[in-house]
Amino acid sequence: MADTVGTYLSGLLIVACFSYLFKENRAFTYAEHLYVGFAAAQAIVLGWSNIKEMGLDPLRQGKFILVIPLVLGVLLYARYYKPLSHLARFPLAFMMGAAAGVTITGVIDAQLVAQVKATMLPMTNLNNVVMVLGTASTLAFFLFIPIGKKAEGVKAANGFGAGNLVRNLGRATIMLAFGSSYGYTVMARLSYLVARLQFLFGRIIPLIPD
Amino acid sequence: MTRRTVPLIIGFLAGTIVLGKYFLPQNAFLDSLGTDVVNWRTIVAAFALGLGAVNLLGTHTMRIARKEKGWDASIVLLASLVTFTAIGLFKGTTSPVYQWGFNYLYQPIYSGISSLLAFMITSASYRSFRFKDWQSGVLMLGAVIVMLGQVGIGELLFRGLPAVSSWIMAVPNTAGMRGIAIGGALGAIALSLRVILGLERGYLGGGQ
Amino acid sequence: MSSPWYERLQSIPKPAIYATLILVFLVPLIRPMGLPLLMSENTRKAYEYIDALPEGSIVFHSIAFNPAVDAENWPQMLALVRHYMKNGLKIIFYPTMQEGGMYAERIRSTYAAEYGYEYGEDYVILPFKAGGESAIAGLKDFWSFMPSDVDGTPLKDLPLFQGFTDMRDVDVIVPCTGSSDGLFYVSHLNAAYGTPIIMAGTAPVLPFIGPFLASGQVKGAIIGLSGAAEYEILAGVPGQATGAMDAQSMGHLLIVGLVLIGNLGFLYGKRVNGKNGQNGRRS
Repeated sequence: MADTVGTYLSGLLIVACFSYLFKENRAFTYAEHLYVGFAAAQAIVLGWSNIKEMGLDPLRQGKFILVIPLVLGVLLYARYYKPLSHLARFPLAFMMGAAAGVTITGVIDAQLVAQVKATMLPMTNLNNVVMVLGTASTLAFFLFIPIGKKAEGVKAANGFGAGNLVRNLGRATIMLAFGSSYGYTVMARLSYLVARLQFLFGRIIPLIPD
Repeated sequence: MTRRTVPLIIGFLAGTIVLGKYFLPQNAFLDSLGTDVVNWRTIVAAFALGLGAVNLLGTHTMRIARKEKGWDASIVLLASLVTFTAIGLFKGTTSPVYQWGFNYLYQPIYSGISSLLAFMITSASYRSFRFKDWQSGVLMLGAVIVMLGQVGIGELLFRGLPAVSSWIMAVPNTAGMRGIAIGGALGAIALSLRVILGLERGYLGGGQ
Repeated sequence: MSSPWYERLQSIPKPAIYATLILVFLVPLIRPMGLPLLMSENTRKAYEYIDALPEGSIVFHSIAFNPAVDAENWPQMLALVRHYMKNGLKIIFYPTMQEGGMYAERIRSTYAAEYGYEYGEDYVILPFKAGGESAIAGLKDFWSFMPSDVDGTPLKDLPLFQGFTDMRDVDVIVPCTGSSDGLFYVSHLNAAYGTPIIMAGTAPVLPFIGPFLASGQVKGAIIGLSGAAEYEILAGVPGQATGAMDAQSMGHLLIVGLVLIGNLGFLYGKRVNGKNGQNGRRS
């Protein structure tokens, strides 16, 4: 019974979302606010369960060192009390510092060394040539070749030399990569709608065959 | 001192401890301290999850109290927030009633709103994809080949299209994205080092 | 006076586009056209890798998606989970997005029974952890980071974790993701332990993981709704992705058609109005 009610309610809510295509209206606004409320509730509940499991429970068992992150966590809320609002920077700095450390340890091996290594291919076939030149020119385009007004100056000084060739090769590679990314993004966005139509015309109005 | 220097010291210590654990794994003290810092970050991040809810509570309570435009929708938001927080905290997120809320309220709205993107991207593709110069031409060509090459209709129209699409993804796309990945890695390392060394302070906000 | 044809080609009203899109989707959904389904190399590699795992191997299935993208990720996850269960693999679910746990609960409440899977013995759901990348890096010190399951039961009391020392005991990691978050597993766990990664991602994820597929850091990938449909067929499990592919095909055709129509008007307008003149587009 609860599931049947829920299914029809879901259908109504999806239609309320679609109604936004005509114009913003009450049904859409209510649905949107219901969703934001649930999302915030979810954040509170899951945040609390993390705090309890990783902080409070071990603290009760005698792991007193955990006072440090718990106090830091509470200090995040100091921002709502003006005289102490600067204390909210402590946890922020802690999170940023730790995240920076984690990021460095993550990218060195997997994203930098492994990817550079994987690009060192023998230039014995077309694919390898495209791969090596494409990677190198993309990198050069981002890191070493000036763009915008600076580029104009360089172009004037160098004419259409090697720098320009690398720039254009880099640009072509990036455009092809972004174009294909766009194609995949379209694919994703369309499938969101297909799934909702499958639900509406499969479960609510049974027109789509199983 | 407490407003700027202490946060910078905290950030420096947190970052160097994590790096120390990575570069000196044999050092048992650093290893254990590094583990603690990563675990503590999860605890502090968990506290941060509640910040959005506190902001929402403040904003929407005020809106209702002042009967500002849209105050009726704020009631819906607060009712949803309070109800599902109570259910989640007292009955748990694995309880049938919380799951019912997720499956029949939250999921359909969230997915319904995101499915509007299908309409937007169709209209945007039609209006903005223009063959203006060779670069936009390459961009468009890549997109069109990939769009048709990934689905059955593409093969019916041009037999070799899926192979061309796969080649674009496997070779030129990989080359471009690899360049971006390597450049991104260098950038991430540089930015992270700046954060640890206290040269990057934007996240602390303005003021003293 | 009505505008010339090349201008009109560039200004089809939005409501007409929206209505056509719905029609183009609905017709093949109601009357399937039986268009060919392509089989990508990435999906095949993913399937073959998982299919070759011996019974009892441990799959670490990360859930990093939410309802915004579950149209792609949920059919992928369902096809994968059914394949794991069919082959008797042990599953550890780990949500790294707030909503992820709810999808794991759907498996517990509905789908686990299909294959007689017992909670605690054949599969376990870990709790969501805040922190993004740190919540994945933390897994390297598994027992201090993850003492209990989503119900609060200590992991050491669950049969699946008897003899489990750390993430090195995991045979494959499968991040099911709507963003490039799955790459954090490559950065932290594949790099540290060499644990194989199979990625299940939304379509826009593929371009980003391309370099990692080419380097062998990611063994295979199930991408988008088409990847889910391909996997359903390869694994021989039921699902709704296959039935959606005709509609997806027609949607792509519509967009390509619209882009071509718009460009026809644009290029002709440019020719008529001269290179530096108006391009003929009305706002």
